Amino acid sequence: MKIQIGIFFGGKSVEHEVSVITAAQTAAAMDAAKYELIPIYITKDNEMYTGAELFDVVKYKDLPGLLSRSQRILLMREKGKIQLLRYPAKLFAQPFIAQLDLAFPIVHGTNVEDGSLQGYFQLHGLPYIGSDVGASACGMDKWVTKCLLQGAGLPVLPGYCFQSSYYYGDPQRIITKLEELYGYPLMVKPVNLGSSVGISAAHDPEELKESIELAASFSDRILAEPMLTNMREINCAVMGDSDYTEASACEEPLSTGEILSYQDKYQGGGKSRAAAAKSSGGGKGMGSSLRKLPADLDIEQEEEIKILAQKAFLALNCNGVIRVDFLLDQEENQIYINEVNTIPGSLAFYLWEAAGKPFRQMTEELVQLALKRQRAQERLIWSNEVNILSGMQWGTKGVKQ
Amino acid sequence: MFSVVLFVLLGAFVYFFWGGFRQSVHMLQLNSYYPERFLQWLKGQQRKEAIYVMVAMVITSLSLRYGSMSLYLYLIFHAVIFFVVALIRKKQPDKKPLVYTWRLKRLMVTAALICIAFILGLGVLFRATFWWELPFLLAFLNLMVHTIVIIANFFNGPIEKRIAKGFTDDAKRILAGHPGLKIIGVTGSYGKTSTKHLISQLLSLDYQVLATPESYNTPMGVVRTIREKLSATHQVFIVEMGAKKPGDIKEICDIVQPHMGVISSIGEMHLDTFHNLDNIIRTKFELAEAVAKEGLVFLNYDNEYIRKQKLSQPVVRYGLGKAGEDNQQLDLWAENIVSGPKGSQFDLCFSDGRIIACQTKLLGKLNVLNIVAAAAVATRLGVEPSRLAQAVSRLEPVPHRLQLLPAGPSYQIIDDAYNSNPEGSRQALETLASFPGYKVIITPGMVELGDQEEEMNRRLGRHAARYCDFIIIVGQNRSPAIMDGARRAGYNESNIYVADHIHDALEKADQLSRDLTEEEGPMTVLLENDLPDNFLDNGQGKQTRRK
Repeated sequence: MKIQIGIFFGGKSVEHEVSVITAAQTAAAMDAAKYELIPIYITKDNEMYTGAELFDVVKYKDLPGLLSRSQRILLMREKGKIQLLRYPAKLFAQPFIAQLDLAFPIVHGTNVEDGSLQGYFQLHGLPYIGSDVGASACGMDKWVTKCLLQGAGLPVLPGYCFQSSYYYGDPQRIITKLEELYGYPLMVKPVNLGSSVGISAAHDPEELKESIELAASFSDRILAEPMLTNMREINCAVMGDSDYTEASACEEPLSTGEILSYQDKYQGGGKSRAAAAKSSGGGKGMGSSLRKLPADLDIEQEEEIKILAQKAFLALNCNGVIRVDFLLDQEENQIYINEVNTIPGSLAFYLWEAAGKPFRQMTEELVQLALKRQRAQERLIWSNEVNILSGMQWGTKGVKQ
Repeated sequence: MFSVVLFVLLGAFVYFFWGGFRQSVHMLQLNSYYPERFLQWLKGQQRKEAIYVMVAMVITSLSLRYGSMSLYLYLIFHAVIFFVVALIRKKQPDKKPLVYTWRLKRLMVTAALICIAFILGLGVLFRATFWWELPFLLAFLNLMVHTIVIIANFFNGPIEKRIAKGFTDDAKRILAGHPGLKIIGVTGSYGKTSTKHLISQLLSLDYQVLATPESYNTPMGVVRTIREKLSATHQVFIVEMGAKKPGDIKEICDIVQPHMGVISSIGEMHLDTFHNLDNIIRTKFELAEAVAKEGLVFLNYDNEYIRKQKLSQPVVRYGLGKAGEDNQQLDLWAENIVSGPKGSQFDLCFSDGRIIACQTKLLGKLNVLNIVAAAAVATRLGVEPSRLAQAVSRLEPVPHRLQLLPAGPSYQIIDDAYNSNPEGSRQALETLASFPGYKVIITPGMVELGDQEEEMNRRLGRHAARYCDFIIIVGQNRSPAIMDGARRAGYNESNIYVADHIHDALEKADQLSRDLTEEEGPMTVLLENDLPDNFLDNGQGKQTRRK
């Protein structure tokens, strides 16, 4: 009897394609002797499909053809078990396709990674890998992340968050406010998008306007923070749950020709919308992009980053594997937590391999963490087993107990 | 027209017949379809109503058919009798509901076929006067309802056996497809359900655990758990194994083939079917025999019968230990036990010298022993001992086993209703004694103890007199022995109340709590021994844990 795992990927997100690749990588890494892996591809239209070819990235070149060879499905809870059913049902045919023991969401970005998909599982009572609804929602929202980390006493850059409608009501008011608060240069980000999408730097009022309007085209809420001019980016992954966490090796992402690097994005370039959208792959730290691994850090710095990463994991109440991105201010020699990815690109497997944990073992541990959380939840009281309404007497003068 | 009359008569009869029939199959189901146990229940039954109807039918039949009544009126008249008797007969609420399983449905179909065959057969015999005999035959059928059910059960026996074998083979097949699953058998004369629950809770720290639910401990209960509950994610399967006669444990072991076994206790339980203690010991150790050579057997070394056994497998010996001694023969034990109304504190001691201070909200010393057993299993399966203290402090009580429940605004209940051993009763009373305020016991006394029953109940009365401010006895059967015991201990008889049933008893307790003065209170009620399991489910919205 193999454990039936539904790998959910895709979704209505700017990081749709990255998710397809991560899912295929993960499926290839998992132990086929232990797990029956069922691909569940969510289209950009939020429809769900399953089929044998869906883990084959090459097949996505012809998406309509691929979908026509795949089967659209429904998730259904039946007698305490979660079933995949064929949709639309065929006459005289069993709609049942498979039963799921566990869901593995491998999705990036808004509409999926932000707790939406996790909520879908939660509602079905289907255990799933990774952070729960709350932690996923917090991790996706850069402003909430910043507030939570700050509340936990962890180092973050100051920031100012505002609604785009507030900006359009009186653009000058925001610009003056930001100039008073931080001065230039500034970083402007959409609050709830995958790491680098829609992010740009501003060195003067003109650029600031452009940056805000770029960010506003991706999100209704915008975050501005002072920009560090002499700094490095360091990423570190964390795995575990509230009982136990461990940190991976640290990496330093480097620029490449094709994909926009940290420097390109944050120091002048990459302001056009097209360029920003293109950078979505790079920001997720794909397994194939260029990096220095392990990052060139002195022992104390590395130790501090690893501890901060685990503290951030706990502050957001994460589960499974996350990647924490740091900014290293070279001038002040100060470390800041920049953001948290609750489902990192490639699940940050390369950071774990560098730390001596193979991808396969990592997926094994993720499965156990998900089951452990399910056990912990079952201990809690969720509902009255007895229907209280059945014990009431319904009199003429209303409800009496 | 005749068919309408016939229809009315048969309809009324089915309505009339259904009451006895339903009760009969229900009792057979509750007695696990064992005809011997069913007959035992039947002995105590009076079938007055059926006999009255039968007699009435004979008299009226004879008087009416030789009068000038038409057949139509004659049949209608009897239909009315059936209907009225069915309407006015006493209906008792079920303690445990009847479950319409496939087996029960098959039984009902067979029984119905027997009824039809009976009527048709006699129809051939009485060909000429059949319609005139019919009401009488139907009444006779009703009188014979239990016999019919037993015959149906007998006919279905071979089919049921084959179906059961199919289920068992299916369960074995499922287990064979689950090679990594660790299977742990738990048996013992008492304490096995609690031990199973606690092992399950501690192992859940690191493993996905499935345990046979509630007190399922028969081969079919185990088979059902495997077929309905076991999923690919499970890593450990804990099987409670009950026995009423030699071979019972082996039968379950043949299905599950345990890797580990826990023998929690051996005592003189079910002596009526085991006949002697040697049979009990041999049966419990069927589990040890079934455990693989490289497996592990966990033994409660506090139990003298268990201590005497020699095993070929590696053994883990656990117990409560002896204060002031070096406990060298134990691998894991508890020391410095302090039990009170808030639970117990104790030191969990390992033979390598490690000591872990634990506290639990579970009541009573017996639960400490059960926790030691669970800790022994958990650590042998790789749970880090340093994590045990926290896990033990979070252990939840097992339902109806020294489970503390809030009851009214001014009192609480210690629910020990599933306890069925004399030693456990004494310890429950000691636990009650540790509570402050006014103490009450509600008990129907102890049952199924054979010759010793009366003496045990007298002893229960004596202990209750020592610890309780008020004694409520449920039912008349065992009350004389309990009262006698209390009286000999010099107990004031005005503080004893004999209740008709459990609801009466709880009402009395409620009233006592209302009459208490502030100095006397708060009140604690101990529910002890073999009470029906649904006595608290009266729509109070009791919060229970999701399973």
